[in-house]
Amino acid sequence: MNDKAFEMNGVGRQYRHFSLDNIDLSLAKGGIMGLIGPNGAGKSTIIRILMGLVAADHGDIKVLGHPMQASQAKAKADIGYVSEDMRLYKNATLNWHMAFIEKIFPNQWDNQYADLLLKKFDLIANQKIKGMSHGQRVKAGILLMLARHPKLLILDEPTTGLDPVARKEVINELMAVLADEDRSILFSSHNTQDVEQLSDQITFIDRGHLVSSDDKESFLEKWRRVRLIVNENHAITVNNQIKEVTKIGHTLSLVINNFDEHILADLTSKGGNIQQVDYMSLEEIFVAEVEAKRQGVTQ
Amino acid sequence: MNTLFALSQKDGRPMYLQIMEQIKQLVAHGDWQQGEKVPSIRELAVATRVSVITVKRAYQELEREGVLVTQQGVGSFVARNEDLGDQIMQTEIDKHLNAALTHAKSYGISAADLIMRLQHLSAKNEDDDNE
Amino acid sequence: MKTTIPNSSTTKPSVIKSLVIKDIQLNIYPVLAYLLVGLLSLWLLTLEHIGIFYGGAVIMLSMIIIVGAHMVITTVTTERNEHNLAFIMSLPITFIQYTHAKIIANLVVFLSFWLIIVSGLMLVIFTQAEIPNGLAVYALILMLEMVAVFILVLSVGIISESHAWTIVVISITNISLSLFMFWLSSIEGIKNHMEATSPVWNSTALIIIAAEVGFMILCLGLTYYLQSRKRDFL
Repeated sequence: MNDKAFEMNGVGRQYRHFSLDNIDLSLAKGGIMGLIGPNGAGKSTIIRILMGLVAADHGDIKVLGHPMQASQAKAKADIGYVSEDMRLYKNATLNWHMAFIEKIFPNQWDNQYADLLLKKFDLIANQKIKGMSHGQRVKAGILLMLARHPKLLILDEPTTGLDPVARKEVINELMAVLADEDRSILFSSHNTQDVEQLSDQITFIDRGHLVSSDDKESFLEKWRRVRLIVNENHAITVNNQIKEVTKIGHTLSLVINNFDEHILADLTSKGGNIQQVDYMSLEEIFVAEVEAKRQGVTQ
Repeated sequence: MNTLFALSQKDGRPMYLQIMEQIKQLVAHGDWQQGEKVPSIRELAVATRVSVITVKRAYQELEREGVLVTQQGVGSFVARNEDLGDQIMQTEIDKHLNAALTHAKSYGISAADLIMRLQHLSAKNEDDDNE
Repeated sequence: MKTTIPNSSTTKPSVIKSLVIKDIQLNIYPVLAYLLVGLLSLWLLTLEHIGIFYGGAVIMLSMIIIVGAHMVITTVTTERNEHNLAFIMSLPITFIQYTHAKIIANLVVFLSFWLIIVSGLMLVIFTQAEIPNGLAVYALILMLEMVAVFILVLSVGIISESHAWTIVVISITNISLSLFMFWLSSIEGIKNHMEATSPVWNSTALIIIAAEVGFMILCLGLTYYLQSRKRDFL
């Protein structure tokens, strides 16, 4: 029995002005993966390929054990998809949409949970979609997906454009999904805070390439920002581990990858007086990884 | 349950450390009794809206520190240790005290001076409380 | 939490059915309005005044064109424009099933509408003494042309996925309707029998009808073929 929510091997896709290159990505069941990348990096393309909406030029894709695009109908029966550029029928009501989904997923639709979500998300069932605010529409789409208890949730920017209250409501319900260790979530986001908080695994994408993919704690453990005081003749420069050196007067601020205690001893021996060692936020790590990759600095 | 855990991303420390600290506080104050079953990793993750892997790491570290005990297939429990609460409190206090000692040293202040400073501050705090 | 009974063989046909019902549901009111006007125009055909007769004919033809255009535009091109397509394609269907659902929904609505109007038209022709029954041949060929045009517009809409192209084809076929009517009424085999007391189904008429039906099948076949070759659904 397949224990992966999805697997992508050597996946590539060529467009006129953009290409997705050699993507190897997978997520174990019960996990949640956050996909981070700048605009145009290829997050949406990866997600569409997983959904079978776009074909890959080469590589294999399996979602919930089903090969895509071949068995996309079977896979999609258990996938819940919400995308930032997806729209519901504006002249119909939320009720209509709920009935529509119920007809298509008669064995999965959970009316009780749907009603509960209506309350939690503060939505009016017989309101027309066109009368809703952006945040309400996003929540409506998420409700329609959650109420059928999909095994894999694929979310393209689920909290973008939501006010803080709505964001919290949505995150609460998404996390509740993970109470079942058979259910998994993939979400792409600009919001590195959300990704940092919720993800088990984090994947960085830039310009169609996989920059890195690892479990969150490993990322956070590998990177540090070190502040130290130096004199004129210090020997501290960018190298394999020191990704960035910023000088402010006598103070150096270093961004360090693959951190371990030896580095601190090494820096001291090179003329540095360690002032502070800090963890970096996911956002800072992401920027550092992307810059390193773009400059071709080897890891 | 989530009201027992106030986690902040603005707090400079990693999430797993925050979770560890709050669990240790619960144990130290007797909210979680020794031998009591604690929420599963997944339950806590969902309740605090933090990734499973982070909670897992917190639990692993707590096990290493002797605060929690995990039985495969059964769950995690607060360690059976009469003095656990006191030990935790002591370890936490020691952490702060050691930090103060290190700081003092770097400013050239001796341990004896530090003790005097501590007494002075303590008296001052009492005055403030009585006002 | 409900247990999932994954059974794609039972989900498949019902998803198509739900999509067809959805497309019909979302357009039922305008279509009924067009039908009402269409029936009204049929009544106009029974009135004495020749001007009103022609007026009725024009309105009737227009309604058929409009219902076709409306259906194709709202169910095919607008769905894509309004990003509803992502919502639909996230459901457990393949692209060919989606194409299938679109074609069925459009044909069901259009042909139902068309059948009602054509039946009414034939009724008018055969019951009104002033209208020669021989006109029925011309009328049927004309009516079938409108089905052929509709299927063309539907095919263009589905294949091109373009609002603009669909509108262009609708406009061109509208303009060429009058040309078709002229051409049809100038053919010897048709012209000579338009005013006959009973309809004459000669080889000319039958050949034209066969060509129209052949065209419809060709369009649909081409649509399915080209759709099956598409790799990206979004």
